[in-house]
Amino acid sequence: MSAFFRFLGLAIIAACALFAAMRAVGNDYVFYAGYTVLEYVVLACAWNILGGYVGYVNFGVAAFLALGAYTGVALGRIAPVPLPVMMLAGGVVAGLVGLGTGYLTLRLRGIFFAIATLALAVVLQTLITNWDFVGGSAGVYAIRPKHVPIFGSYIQYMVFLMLTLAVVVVAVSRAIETSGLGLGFVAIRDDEVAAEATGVPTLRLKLIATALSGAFMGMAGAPLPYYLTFLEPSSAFNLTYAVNSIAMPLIGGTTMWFGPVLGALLLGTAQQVITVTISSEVNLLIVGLLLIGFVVLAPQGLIGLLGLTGKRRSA
Amino acid sequence: MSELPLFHAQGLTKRFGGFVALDSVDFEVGAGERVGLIGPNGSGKSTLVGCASGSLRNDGGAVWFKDRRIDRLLPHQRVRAGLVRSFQLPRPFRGLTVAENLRVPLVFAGRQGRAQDAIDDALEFVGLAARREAMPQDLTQVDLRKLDLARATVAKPQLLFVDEAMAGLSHSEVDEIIALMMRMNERGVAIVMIEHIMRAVTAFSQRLVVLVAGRKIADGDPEQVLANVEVQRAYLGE
Ligand SMILES: Nc1ncnc2c1ncn2[C@@H]1O[C@H](COP(=O)(O)OP(=O)(O)O)[C@@H](O)[C@H]1O
Ligand SMILES: [Mg+2]
Repeated sequence: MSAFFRFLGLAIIAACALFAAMRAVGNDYVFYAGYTVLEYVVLACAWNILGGYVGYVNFGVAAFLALGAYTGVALGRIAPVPLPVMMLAGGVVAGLVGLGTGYLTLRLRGIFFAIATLALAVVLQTLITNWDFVGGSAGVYAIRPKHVPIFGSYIQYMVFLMLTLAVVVVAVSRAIETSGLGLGFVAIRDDEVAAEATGVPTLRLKLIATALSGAFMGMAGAPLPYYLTFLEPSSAFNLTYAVNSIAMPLIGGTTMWFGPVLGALLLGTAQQVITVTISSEVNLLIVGLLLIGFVVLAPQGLIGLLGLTGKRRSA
Repeated sequence: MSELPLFHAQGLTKRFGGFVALDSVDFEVGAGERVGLIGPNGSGKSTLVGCASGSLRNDGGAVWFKDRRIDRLLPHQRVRAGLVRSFQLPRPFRGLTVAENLRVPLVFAGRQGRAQDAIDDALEFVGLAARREAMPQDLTQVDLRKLDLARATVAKPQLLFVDEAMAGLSHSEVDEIIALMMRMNERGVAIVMIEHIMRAVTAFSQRLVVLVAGRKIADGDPEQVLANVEVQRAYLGE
């Protein structure tokens, strides 16, 4: 326990240092770019809870992100709700959908589960596109509050919230790794039938993973309308979210929290630079090539190359 | 036996599509008993283990364990009740060290405290103490078998199904595994040994059950069962 709080303390200090450094630059662009990178830190870690630890590949990242975003939009249409509350609500909705999806699909293994999550994204996108209350296919404007106390600008406030969420996700990931829960996850990933035969309640553990993973993605999605200021289904359900959220852990390494964090920081930052210097179209190409390279040449990712995987190695 | 048996399957039936893999089989095991289960390849031995342990769902019949009907329980619930199996092919958790492999039942089978001692004891017991930090990929075939048995031991079973743990082992390695299973039995674990190596079966079994094409054709004293004409025909005809 004390090791956990020491870790949490370090993570908070690192987050504060990062925020201070971004403020020191004194340019809002840094915050716009930083927000996206941090969003990917959260998405990559969240994906990794199910995909990396338990070994179930979720292609429907955008669906959970969009659930969070549209939960926020729907709430905002009913009452002026503060953003942190929207994030919590988005987390609850996406977590519940994760739980339901898990319950319906987790008897499917391997590729069939992955296809089912892709189907979930398609179904949800169709539903949202036809739901006029949240803008439907025409999209919806999200008006940022003019006045933001303490932070001064709304983008800084959003970065602060995303940074907080990133710290929470990383801390939860690490807590999983060091707990019996994480051991059970690894057992399922390595051999689900043997795990059952060793006493692991596989269905319950997989549901915990889908719910947690979905909830964090939903929380990350809630500020999206305010970040984009205009949200439409095609941007909320953009396949890029899934591609990046899968590529970042795989490139960074899936066996511990540091893998997705490293993957998201490096790849996310590189993408921001490339978008400015070359073009955003090149990004997916680069991600694709890196992904192939790592899967073939370094299946343990960067943390494997750095020798950081610890005792629990991937299968 | 006057009391209820520890384990009791009645009319156990399992179909794969139209194929009947187990055809109304009755099978029981007493507390602390050593039973040999033999039969030609494809006769349904592993299917029986699957139905008993919950990795397969029986289509007919019923399974009782310690006075409790268990054939709708999930596999991990049966493990917690004290019914454990090993697999025909070794199935270690390949991403975990030998010691970590044993931590899985320690944490999840929930049959004893989380004491590190249980892992050390089990490793000592099967003779893998020196390999505790090794990865499964670096173990020999016989050590993988011992790891499977150690993992089962940590779950503190009252009944253990061991599905062909000796296939591919040398003469002396077979002796080692037999001795190990005898010692597990001495600790009070009832064991069902499924095996093709007759030397092992006869050395181990107090009772012998023979399956042929999904049906039980003999059940009783090993010598008498092996002298049985039908049993001989089943084996010679293979
Ligand atoms: N999952 C399965 N699907 C279809 N057929 C199966 C399955 N498992 C076993 N069988 C068939 O059931 C029969 C019994 O198999 P098994 O119990 O593995 O035999 P044994 O262990 O005695 O060699 C075999 O004919 C096998 O092909
Ligand atoms: Mg078999």
